[in-house]
Amino acid sequence: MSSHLAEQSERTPPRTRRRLVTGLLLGSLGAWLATVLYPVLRYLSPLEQSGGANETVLGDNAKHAIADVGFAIIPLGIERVIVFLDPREKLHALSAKCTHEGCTVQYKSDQGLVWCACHNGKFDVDGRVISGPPPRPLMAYKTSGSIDGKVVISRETA
Amino acid sequence: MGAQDATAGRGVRTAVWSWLDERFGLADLLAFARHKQVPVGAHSMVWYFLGGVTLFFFTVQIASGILLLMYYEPGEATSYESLRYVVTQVPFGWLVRSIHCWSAHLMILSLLAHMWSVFFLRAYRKPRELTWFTGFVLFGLALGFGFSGYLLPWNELSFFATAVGTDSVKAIPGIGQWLLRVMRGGEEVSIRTLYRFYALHVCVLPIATFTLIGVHLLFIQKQGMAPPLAEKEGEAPPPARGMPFFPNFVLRDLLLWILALNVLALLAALLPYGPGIPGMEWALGHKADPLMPAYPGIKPEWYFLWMYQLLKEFPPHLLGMEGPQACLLIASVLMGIWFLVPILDRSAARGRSSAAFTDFGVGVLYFLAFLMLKSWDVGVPAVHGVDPGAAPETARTIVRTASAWVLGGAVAVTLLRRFAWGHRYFWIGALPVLQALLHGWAGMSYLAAGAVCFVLLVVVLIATWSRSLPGAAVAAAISLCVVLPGASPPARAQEPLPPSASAEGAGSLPESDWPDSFRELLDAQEGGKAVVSERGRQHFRELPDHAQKMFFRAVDSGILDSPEQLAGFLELEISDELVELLLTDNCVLCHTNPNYQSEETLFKVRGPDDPNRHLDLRAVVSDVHLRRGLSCSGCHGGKPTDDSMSDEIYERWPERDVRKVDRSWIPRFCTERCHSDPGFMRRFNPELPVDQMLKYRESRHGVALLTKGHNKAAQCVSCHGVHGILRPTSPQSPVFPTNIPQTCGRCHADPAYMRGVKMDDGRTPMPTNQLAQYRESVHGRALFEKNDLGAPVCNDCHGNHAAMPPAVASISQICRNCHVTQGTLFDGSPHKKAFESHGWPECEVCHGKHDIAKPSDAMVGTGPGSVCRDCHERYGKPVCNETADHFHDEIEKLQTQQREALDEVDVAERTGLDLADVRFQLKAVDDALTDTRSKIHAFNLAEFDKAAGKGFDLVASARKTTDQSLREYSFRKVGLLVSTLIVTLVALLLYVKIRQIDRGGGDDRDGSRGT
Repeated sequence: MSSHLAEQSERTPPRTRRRLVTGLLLGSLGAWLATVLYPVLRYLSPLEQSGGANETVLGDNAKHAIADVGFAIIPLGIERVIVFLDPREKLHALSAKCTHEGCTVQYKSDQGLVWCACHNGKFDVDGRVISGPPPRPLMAYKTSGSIDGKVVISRETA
Repeated sequence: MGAQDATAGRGVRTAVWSWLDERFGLADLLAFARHKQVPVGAHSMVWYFLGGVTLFFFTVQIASGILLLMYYEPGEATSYESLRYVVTQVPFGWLVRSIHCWSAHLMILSLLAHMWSVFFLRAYRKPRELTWFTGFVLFGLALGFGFSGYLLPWNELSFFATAVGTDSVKAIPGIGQWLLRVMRGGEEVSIRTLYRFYALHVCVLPIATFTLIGVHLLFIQKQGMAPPLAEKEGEAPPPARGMPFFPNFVLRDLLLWILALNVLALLAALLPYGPGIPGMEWALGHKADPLMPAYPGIKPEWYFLWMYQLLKEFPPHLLGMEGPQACLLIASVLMGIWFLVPILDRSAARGRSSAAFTDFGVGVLYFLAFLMLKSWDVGVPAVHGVDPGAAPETARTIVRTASAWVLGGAVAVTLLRRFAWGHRYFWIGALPVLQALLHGWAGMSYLAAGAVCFVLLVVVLIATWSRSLPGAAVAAAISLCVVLPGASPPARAQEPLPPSASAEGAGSLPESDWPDSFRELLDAQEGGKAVVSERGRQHFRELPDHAQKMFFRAVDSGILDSPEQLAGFLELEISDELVELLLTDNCVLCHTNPNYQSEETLFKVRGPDDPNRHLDLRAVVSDVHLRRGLSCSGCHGGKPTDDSMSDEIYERWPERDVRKVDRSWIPRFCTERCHSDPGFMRRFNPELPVDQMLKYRESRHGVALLTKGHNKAAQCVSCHGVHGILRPTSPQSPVFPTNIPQTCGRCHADPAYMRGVKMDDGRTPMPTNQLAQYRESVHGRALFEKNDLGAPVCNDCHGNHAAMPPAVASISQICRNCHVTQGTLFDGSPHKKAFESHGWPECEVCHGKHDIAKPSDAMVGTGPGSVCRDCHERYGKPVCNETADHFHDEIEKLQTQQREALDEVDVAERTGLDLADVRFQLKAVDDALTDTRSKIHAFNLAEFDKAAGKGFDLVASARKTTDQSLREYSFRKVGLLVSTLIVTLVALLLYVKIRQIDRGGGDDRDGSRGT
């Protein structure tokens, strides 16, 4: 029996050594996995998009849309901006991305407010929350010029 | 505490294991895996891992393919651009694409190694035939992956390779054309082809491959891996031994996979665009343009090269088939034999290794190797975009080198087989080597050498297999195959119909209707040779009948009664309309008849050295006046229908002896009757000017001829010619831009002719070196060497009908016609006033006149070649020279910086970085340099510095990008080193672990053996 045990201990490495090898193996496998994952994760992260233009001129299509349906949604860089005339014919430009879940809002000219159809969020013409779940007001953009002429929408806060 | 943690950890592991085991029966699975055995033979175990390695590469393909899909946008305007974006912009995008490409090639390589190892070990033998068949189809799918993926970058190489690759499909009898259209999604390779290939590559082929891999693995699982046969011929098979599949074999597999991944990462990082050998390079290059011609040396991927080369070896027609059809047939037969190997190899089915089949496998390798070596153009240096096989000399070198390599390889393999493995059968393997030698060194064509070897193969097969009945049947069948193609009537390929025997034009009269009088002229002979050439006769045969009848009438009337005259008309090869115009004009008919005219009045086809070259009939028929209906009588008087010389002809022009001496009548004759009469000219071309005479009177030529009576002065015919006047827009016209210098130079470059002609001052003789100077000038070189019709010629500066030397005041204005910017800048410069005060001819002062050289930077500054220094020292302030030096130094500096930046790009590109955008940016520095040089004409420091600044900014930005790329490259190297070290560590530890397990100590929990 004792000779059998001695033979066994000669043939099999001590438990601590086995554990060390397994631990090192798992550790190095983890490190190797990291070297594989690092480039993959870097590859998957999209490159940062530039904010694009700081201002834009309201085009004829947008002006027609404001005349026909009461509002127009235009791009400014990578953002969406809703432009509309309030009941007093004053031009407003607000971020069209609802602060609740990011839906695109619309202007209800009959009620004179900005409405998000996704969860019934309501904002006044200056972007302040009136009711519904949106946690923050819509960001307002600066408008200059008249709807009959050249209108410039700029990132500068109104 | 530590021991407690370890115990707790083990407790969690046991709990998780039990939880999973209870639900999924993992213990049973593990027990199954532990008891599964992998056969172990005397041969290397490595052959058992090749399938796994192929599967591993396929997994890498799926993973890297999914990553590429996240950026790749198929489309004409997006495929190439999106991949370019991946490679140049996306972090590690270059690595992902490089891994995808490298892994594809390594997958095919390991697949081939797997297939050949299965072949040589006879692992396909009963009962594993279906595993071989599914493997063969998987091989086909892998080739399909390669072929369809090749097109997706939509670059030049992939476009043409796909065009050639798909085109070979049309050789399939019956459905070839249809299949070609289906593959391409139309007649030609277009973006529709890409969509189809894209769908195949990312959807159809993966689904088919997954399914088939499943079936392939199921078969292997069910039947187990094939145990080894006897190592040496005649020996008994070794006793069955085994290795546990789990964990012993699995861990070995894992070790190999990790090593394979590391090799892949190393290759992908160090050679991101491939090793650069034909069929193994994937630099994006230029975007595909279907309207660009293919460049020579385009080749498919390396695993298709043998087929590509085989196609090249076939003549246009063979055995009644088109060459590609015959080639496809032979390739299909070869592939069919390879597919059916498990059925054909009867010995293996009985558990014996057939020496003939082993030799057959080796022979196939030689056969493929020779074709591949030949298509790789071995023995001649590779030059991108050049096909060395196109020249007979280099083609011979390639064939000889390839056959020598095959022979060398075959000798080495044979020695190995004979002495290391005890093989004794080499007959079949010798045949492809013999074919290579016959082709390479005995001057036989590839196919002829192949035919000889095929006959020998039949003999060898009959001798080998006739010992058994099935073998005899197979040999008889093969013999039949050899005999049949010779006996069967060749199926004629579609060939164009021979041209119609009728050479007559559609509306021509048959020869039988030609009158005898005409035929007599046509057939007339002189010195035993026909006067009218066969070409002239053919031209007559093709004339419409009404034109032919006009010839007959002219012969009948007797005015056309000379064979030479007839030959002259017919050999002109002019349109029917012109033939009619000439034959209705008695002046032409009479003055082309040598029977009526002396050499001084005879019109015939004449050479340029003929003293009467103005009587060239060929020139007459191209004359713009004749083509508008104004024939001889238009100038000479009379009517085309006159039978004899009209009196008007003698009255219209001055007497012969007067008109030859006093040429002043010519401009008056041309203009008074026609060219100065708007009403008359409107009938022909309302756009033509009618003020030529007004201008000519004021010109130096006009004054000399009309006022001073200098008869040498140029007039209308001096420049426009006499009987062959062409439109000025005709490239043959003497007043076409490229001919004007020569036309003016006929007089102005002839010292004898110009003797006595003085400059405006009345004293200085007129120089005659203008033409020589102009030829060497920047304008002359542009005109004569670059064929730039926009380059100014004599009349652009001197005028044409109002030719005169440009005065000092007008020189700068004339130059401004083209050099607008420089002129405007000069107008605002301080030099303008200074030059005016000295009466200097602005541009000419620095640039010269007829010998204007290409401006060089040395002209600015105060160094050698400077045009500033002399004037500045005499008339300027010290600051003037400093400014000139500043201009010179800044331009030199910008050029140097541009050159250095380009050198840096070269260095960076040699490491495999793609800096095409930076190169483009540095090309824009050329524009900035041009702008900067232009700004010198303003002689304004601020303006100049602003323009130069743009160039410096461009260089700085380009250098910054190059620098960033180089830093990124250093990061790559460090990253690669780190990952390689980690993988080496993993591999070492795994190796230690495998050893531990092999010794029975791998289980951490109880130390029991794995099996």
